[in-house]
Amino acid sequence: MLEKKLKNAADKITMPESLKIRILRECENISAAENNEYEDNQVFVVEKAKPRYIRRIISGIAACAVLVGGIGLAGKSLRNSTEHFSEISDEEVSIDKASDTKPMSDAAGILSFSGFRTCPPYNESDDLLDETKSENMKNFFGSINWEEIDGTEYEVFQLPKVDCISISAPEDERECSVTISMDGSNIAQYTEVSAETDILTSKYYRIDEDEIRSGITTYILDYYNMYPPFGSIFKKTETLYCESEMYSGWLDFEDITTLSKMFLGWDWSNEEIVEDFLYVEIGQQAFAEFRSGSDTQAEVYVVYPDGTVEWQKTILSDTGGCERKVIHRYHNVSQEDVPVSSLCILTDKIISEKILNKK
Amino acid sequence: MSDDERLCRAMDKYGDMLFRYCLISLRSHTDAEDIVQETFLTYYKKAPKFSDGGHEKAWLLTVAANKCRDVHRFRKRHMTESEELLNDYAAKEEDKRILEALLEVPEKFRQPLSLHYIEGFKVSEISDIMNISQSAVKMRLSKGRKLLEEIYRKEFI
Repeated sequence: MLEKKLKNAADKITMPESLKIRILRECENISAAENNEYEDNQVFVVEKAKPRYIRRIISGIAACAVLVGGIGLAGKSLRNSTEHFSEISDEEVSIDKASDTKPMSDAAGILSFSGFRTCPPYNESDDLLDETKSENMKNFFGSINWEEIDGTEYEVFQLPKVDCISISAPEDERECSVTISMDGSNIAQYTEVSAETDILTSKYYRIDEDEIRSGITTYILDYYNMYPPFGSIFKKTETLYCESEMYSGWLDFEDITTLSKMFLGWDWSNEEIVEDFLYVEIGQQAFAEFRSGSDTQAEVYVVYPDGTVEWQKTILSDTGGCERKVIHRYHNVSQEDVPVSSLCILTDKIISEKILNKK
Repeated sequence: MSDDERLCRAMDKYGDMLFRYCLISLRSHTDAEDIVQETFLTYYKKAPKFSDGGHEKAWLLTVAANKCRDVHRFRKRHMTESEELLNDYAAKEEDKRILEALLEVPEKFRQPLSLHYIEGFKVSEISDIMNISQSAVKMRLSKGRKLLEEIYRKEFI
């Protein structure tokens, strides 16, 4: 009725012809400008851009923690991935050894910690550590055993299918980083870029994952321990928007902290990873959802009355479309004597304050 | 098909949809035209190969929706009064009333209403375009419908 009226009325709004002509003219100008630039500056543009772009491509491959079995395979992988830059010879790719100092122990500046698709609490996080944590981690890396290995006997791992963590030194001119498996493989890959040659070098080590995990727990985990076993939505710097039948609006830091602590107490063991294209709706209306986002990604927690919680993370492409969705579904989320509906009550700011005051 | 032909075909097929969506979202002729122009320029420069028409339609709308969101955030121009905005399009008084009512609905509800009831997108598609969950889309559609009806009945009946 009303919707049909709306559709009929709105269908009469059309794009002005003058706008179409303007757009076509603008595109003609773009084509003409690109052609002129290509003809006049072809050699210059290619020669100027190539070295830096190659370095970023190579560093990017390493930074994304592709653990490649052996230098030979690493060279092959780099050649395959950089097919537009076939001018790079094998010698340029595979020479030089990284320093003999234990990886990351002599890195300059603060460290950055990233977790990829791994068991809680490192899920897809990306954080700069403070000075104290960074120094502690460097000392820790300097104290543990790194057994250098050949690497050729191991299979190729690639994110996001492998569980791993990565620690890099963004302020170090060597762009050094170490990626460590967290799936029982006990392998680490250390990379750095030579300031003189701009060439990436890699070394592989056998490490003790439990030992690494212990170090992270001791020096970094107190930060992560505050938050539920997924996502970054409850970080202190994030704002959170709540949407429910009872309350719609922004939550302040106090609410977020309360929610975070509440979430921590629940049983998250019954996890189901839902592929984006196989997503099937729960079949019930959500009780509440909590949303955080930026220009490039959005995270949503959806709470259902039956105790199912979904964490959805949408990553946007450069042009604004939805590039990838990650959905984790947690079944039968509950705490010992507190029903999940009390989580929903927290969306009402007034009631949540009363609950806190009573405690 | 050349890039120019592809662009012309896209404008013929989706130009009205994009302009309509932007006009309703931004409530300004000038802003709407700017965003539609930017969207098609992005399409001309960067659009991938689409598997089907539905994908292309959603891609264009998502780009436009993101650009509209930026305009809302950094708005400098004054919005046009809805009556003046619709003068060129709504010849019948009845058409004008329902569109004016829609323009009075807050943006966060107006957007899914426009996408679903005017442009025909499914809840799952709207979820991708707006970057919210499907549950939120349903909640906003439900609330949006109620608000639209309230405004329409209050102002025009």
